[in-house]
Amino acid sequence: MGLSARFKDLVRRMAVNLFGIFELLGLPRIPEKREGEGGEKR
Amino acid sequence: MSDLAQQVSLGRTGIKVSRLGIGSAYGVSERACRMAFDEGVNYFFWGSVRTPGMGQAIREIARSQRDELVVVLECYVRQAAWIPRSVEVGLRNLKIEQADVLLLGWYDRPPSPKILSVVERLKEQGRFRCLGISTHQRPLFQKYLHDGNYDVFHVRYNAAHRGAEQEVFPALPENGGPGIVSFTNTRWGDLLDPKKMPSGMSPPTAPDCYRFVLSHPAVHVAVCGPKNDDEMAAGLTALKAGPMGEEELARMRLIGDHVHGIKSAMSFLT
Repeated sequence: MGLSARFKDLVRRMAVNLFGIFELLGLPRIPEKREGEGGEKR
Repeated sequence: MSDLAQQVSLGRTGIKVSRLGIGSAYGVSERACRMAFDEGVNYFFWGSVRTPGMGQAIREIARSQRDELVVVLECYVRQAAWIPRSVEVGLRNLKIEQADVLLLGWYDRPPSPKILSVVERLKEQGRFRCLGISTHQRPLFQKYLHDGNYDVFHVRYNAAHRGAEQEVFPALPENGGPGIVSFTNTRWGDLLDPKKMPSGMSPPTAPDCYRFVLSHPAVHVAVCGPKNDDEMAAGLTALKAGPMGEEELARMRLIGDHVHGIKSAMSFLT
């Protein structure tokens, strides 16, 4: 594997791991809605 | 009603899905998701980048119409021992008991036997109904097809990246194959950029890009990534317009070939 391919692979792995960490942390947190509250404001 | 407005079976899963799906990554609002759901869109892809609007929409819709919603939970965690936690956190966040599809995301190398065994246990426990997988290495889909572990494939396919027409779609069985879902339908927006068009040509719209993808008979669902309500509303027009004719397809291919020759920031990673 060439240097460029290795670098690409490293960046890809880092991206995948970062997304995995977000999943485990449950990010983003979804705010609770109060009863009867409508959709979000624009 | 055009062909694209009707729900279809997601391959061998038998799950009825809309031809357009919604991805969570670009910040679609709860209202836009609700509007799309009311128009018959039911494929909700809770993917790698998750923004709260779609999460809110899934929670709200699932409270009364869970059966009509198809929730795809993507999992990027690569350590087998942590996968159950990732799935539990995802389900808890969405306030649902079970995902319709658990998507093993971005597997450019096949998942290890350990990962597959953990995933199988989660399925037995009822945490998801069907297993899906995505990769940017299209030839790998033939191996995934042969393995027989996966009910759904998320495939990169658009007018510029048409490799799936040679490397994936011909290998699919006529009946009983996996559900095929396309992503990156606009090639990360490049197909919509006037500066990236061949001389004298105007860019396609996002609905044109979805219609192009959905005109291929192998594709069941095109996942769109709207940023706002207007983009969601525009995306929905693809369903009403229906599949493309030969002339429109030829124009898209011409533009796609041109765009394919232009480097994209994201192509570095894929």
